Amino acid sequence: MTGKFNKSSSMNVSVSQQVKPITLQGSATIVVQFFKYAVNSILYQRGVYASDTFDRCQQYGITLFTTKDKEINEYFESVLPNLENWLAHGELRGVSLVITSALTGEHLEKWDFEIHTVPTDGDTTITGKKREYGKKELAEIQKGIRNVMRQITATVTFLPLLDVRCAFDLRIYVNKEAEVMRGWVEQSDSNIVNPERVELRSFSTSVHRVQASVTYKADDP
Amino acid sequence: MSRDAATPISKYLASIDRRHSLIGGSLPSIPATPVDTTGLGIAFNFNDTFLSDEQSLLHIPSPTKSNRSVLSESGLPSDRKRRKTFYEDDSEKLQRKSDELERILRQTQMDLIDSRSVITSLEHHKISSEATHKEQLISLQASNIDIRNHWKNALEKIKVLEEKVGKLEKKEKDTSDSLHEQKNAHSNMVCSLQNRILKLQSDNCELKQKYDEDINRNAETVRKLSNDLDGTERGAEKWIIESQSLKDQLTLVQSQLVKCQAQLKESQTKIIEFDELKSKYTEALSDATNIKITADQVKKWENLYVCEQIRNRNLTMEIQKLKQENQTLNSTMSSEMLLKEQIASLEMRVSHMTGELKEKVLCDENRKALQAEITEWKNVASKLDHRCKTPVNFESVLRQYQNQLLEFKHDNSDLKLQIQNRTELISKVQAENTSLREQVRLLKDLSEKQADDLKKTSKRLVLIAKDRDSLKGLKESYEQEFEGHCSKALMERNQQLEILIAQHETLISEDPSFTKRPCEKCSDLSQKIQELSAELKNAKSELDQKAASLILSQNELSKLESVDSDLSYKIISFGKNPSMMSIDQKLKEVLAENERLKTKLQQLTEDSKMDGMDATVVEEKKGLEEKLKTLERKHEILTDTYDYETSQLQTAIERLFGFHIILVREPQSQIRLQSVNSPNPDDMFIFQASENDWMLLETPVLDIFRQEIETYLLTAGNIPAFLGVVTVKYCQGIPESNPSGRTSGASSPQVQDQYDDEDEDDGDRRHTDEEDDEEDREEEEEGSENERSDADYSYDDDDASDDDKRDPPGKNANPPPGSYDNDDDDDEIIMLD
Repeated sequence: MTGKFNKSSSMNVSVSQQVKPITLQGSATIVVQFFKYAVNSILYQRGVYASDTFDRCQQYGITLFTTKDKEINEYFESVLPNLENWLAHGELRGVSLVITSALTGEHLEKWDFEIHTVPTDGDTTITGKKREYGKKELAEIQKGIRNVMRQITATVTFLPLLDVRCAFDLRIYVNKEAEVMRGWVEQSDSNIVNPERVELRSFSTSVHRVQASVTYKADDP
Repeated sequence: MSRDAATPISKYLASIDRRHSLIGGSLPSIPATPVDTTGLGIAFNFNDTFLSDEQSLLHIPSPTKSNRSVLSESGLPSDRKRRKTFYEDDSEKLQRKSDELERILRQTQMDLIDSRSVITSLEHHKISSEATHKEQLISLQASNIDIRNHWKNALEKIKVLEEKVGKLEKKEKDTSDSLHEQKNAHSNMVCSLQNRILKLQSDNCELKQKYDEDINRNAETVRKLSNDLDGTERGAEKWIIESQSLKDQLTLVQSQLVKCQAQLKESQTKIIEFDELKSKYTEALSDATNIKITADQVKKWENLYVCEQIRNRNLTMEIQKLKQENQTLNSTMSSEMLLKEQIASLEMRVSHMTGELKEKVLCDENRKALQAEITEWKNVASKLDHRCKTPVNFESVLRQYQNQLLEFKHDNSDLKLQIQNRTELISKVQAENTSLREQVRLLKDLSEKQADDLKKTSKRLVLIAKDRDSLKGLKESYEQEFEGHCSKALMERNQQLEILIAQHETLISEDPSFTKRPCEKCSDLSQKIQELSAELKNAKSELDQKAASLILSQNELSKLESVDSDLSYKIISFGKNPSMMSIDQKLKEVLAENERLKTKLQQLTEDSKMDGMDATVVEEKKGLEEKLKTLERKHEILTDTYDYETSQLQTAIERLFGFHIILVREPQSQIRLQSVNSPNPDDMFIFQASENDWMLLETPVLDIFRQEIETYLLTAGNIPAFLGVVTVKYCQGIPESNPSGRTSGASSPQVQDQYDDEDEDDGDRRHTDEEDDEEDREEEEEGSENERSDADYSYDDDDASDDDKRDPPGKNANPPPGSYDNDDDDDEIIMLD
């Protein structure tokens, strides 16, 4: 994200084409927004929820789908600010979207988003100015995100059909020292039987680098 | 050089073999006698190559002890002389031994040199391996750089390709858009042409109509104008002629006037002459002779005068007339002017009309062109369809074609939509295809890269493993050498040598002469050995370092190979996540379903209880249905038998009593008797049941049997007798019915007053009867259905209609038989006692 970002305008990324210095907070906002749209897109593309519960919206120069479901939106609203906070503190290591069978609870798919953060000392300098970590055009960042989104859309072609009622869960990988708010539960790593992993594209905001991959339960031969 | 070329292990093995052979070969030749051990402690300093500092100071037992014991046991006098002789005797032997030892020392030195060479070769090998390692690292870095460059190039290529793809997509889009535009333009053109054709056709039709109308109108206007023109022309000609005639007349009149004036002048002159003559007459009065002549002349002249005055008057009159005529002519001149103006306006109109005519001509030309087009169209139509010979056919065909065109348009639009959908699908598929191709390409590239990397890493691994194994072997060998874990032979030899050395040392220590003579060679050798041992130490330390680096590299490799098992992070998830919610929801659903099933189970159990009850009800129902069926069947049978019996009874009654009985139940029970012998089938005796009696309703046939009614019914009250008489009378011959006789007929006193009233107003009654008949017919028609349904033996409408047809004209006034059904109030009733 170019320019400064407030929390209030965290979800409205300006489409300025000017090359402006990027801050840690801005990068965190971009990444969190990407997570929101990526998770929504995966939920739509993988048919976890019915397609009529999604709305079309234009983002990153492509048409994306966001859920209308009140409960899921509430869930995102409660999860994403925490993610942004962890990202801003450089404590977030990755995010996993685990798709489970609602009937059996079996893990069917896992979408991993590994995050590599440039080591920083915080976002604000002694003088009170926002520290700059890099310069990258918003268009370039959006292009990277767009490519990832397109690849997520394209993964439907090779991923196995989810023919059971599914649910999802976001597993957050944070440092052990990271402060965790109430309502968060420690989980074990999700294991998928007969897994197959496909690396997806990555994008970088020059502060955070997000590497996406999908692990799915391969069909038995 | 050949040594350098050999591997260190082979060198080492060769040296061991050599040493072994040497040791093995010299073993039997080793003297059992004590040797001169002077300088052996220095000479056999094993710190040199193979032994460590601790192991270098080996405790070697002195072999002289045994010798000494042997010597003591031999019983020789132990004095110095004997000793000296013994030493002198053995000096040569010792010398030999020392030579032998020197030789062994040399051999060991040689071995040492060999080991040194081995070490150097190892060092060389180490250096070379390091160099190769570095080279490999450099090559790896270079390959990494190359890969990165390749990657960058590939990325650039990808970008270029993406740009190309984008351009191609753009081009494709542009071409598709242009094609779409062209298609749309063509379709629009086709539509516009079709619309134009339709417009032209409609315009043609309109123009035709207009043209016809205009032609008619123009023809009419032309006619009118021509008539007007003719009229005006005629009028103008007339007027011109008249004006000319009037002019001529005027000129004539003017000439006449001039003549008259001239005559007047002449007359005036004549008057003057007359006056002169009168004067002369007066003068000549005197003259008697000329009096008469003059009188005659005077009379003449008076007559002339009178005539001239009359003429003058006439001329004045004519002048006045002419003046009037002149005025009229002037007026006509103005009218002429008006006419001229009219003519001008008419000419204008004519010019306008000519313009219109020109337009019409143009219209005609257009029409012709359109006709030509129509002919062309006709030709086209005829080509298309041979049936199109007439305009109607052509129109129909045209309509068909128009309909087809519309259908085609619809189809075209549908096809367009389909094409659009398919193009969209194609574009989607193409996009998917391109994305898939890209993915495949990327995957291929990735797989190729991975394969290359794998190959490289495997090669590297193999090389590193080989190096590791070789180094391990070396290390082990060195360790073995260092720790003394050599072969048994070597060990034994070593021990023996150690023993020998110890013996020699003891001997030397016992002999003070040896201690006072230090050997330079030995010191040099010991120095060399120390140096070598230092070098060996260094080599060992280096080897240790290398081993440590190897372990580190192995660890790195294992790190690279193994999955990152770093657990410096924790995995958390929000407690109220959708999966939990779904599980909760599922739990709720399951609970709800459970409850629902429970309720359903309860319902089913209740229903199963109720089913027992229902079974009896169903059985009862079945029984009742069966009963109903049997009763219906019985009813049918009974009705059939009843019908049969009644028909039988009817026929019997007809045959026995000569009457056909019709029973009517509603609205009131009536028995209608129709005599079989009656010539008129409409003759009917209607008996209506009252409370206790039977009433005979008035019918036209009763007029015949008034007497009988009186005698048999009214007086005797015997209906069978009356009926019998009726049959007899019918059989004897029917008395002619007298419709008008009803008035004269003896109406019974018991006949109701209504009947009397009707008798009084027969004409009115008839009229009312006719109206009633109509009403009755309508009512009958309405009630016939009810009768059919209610009464088994009702009067048929068809019969009535037939009867109406059969009725003679005189009888038409009488009500039809069917009309007796409901008009109880209007009918005359004979009460029977």
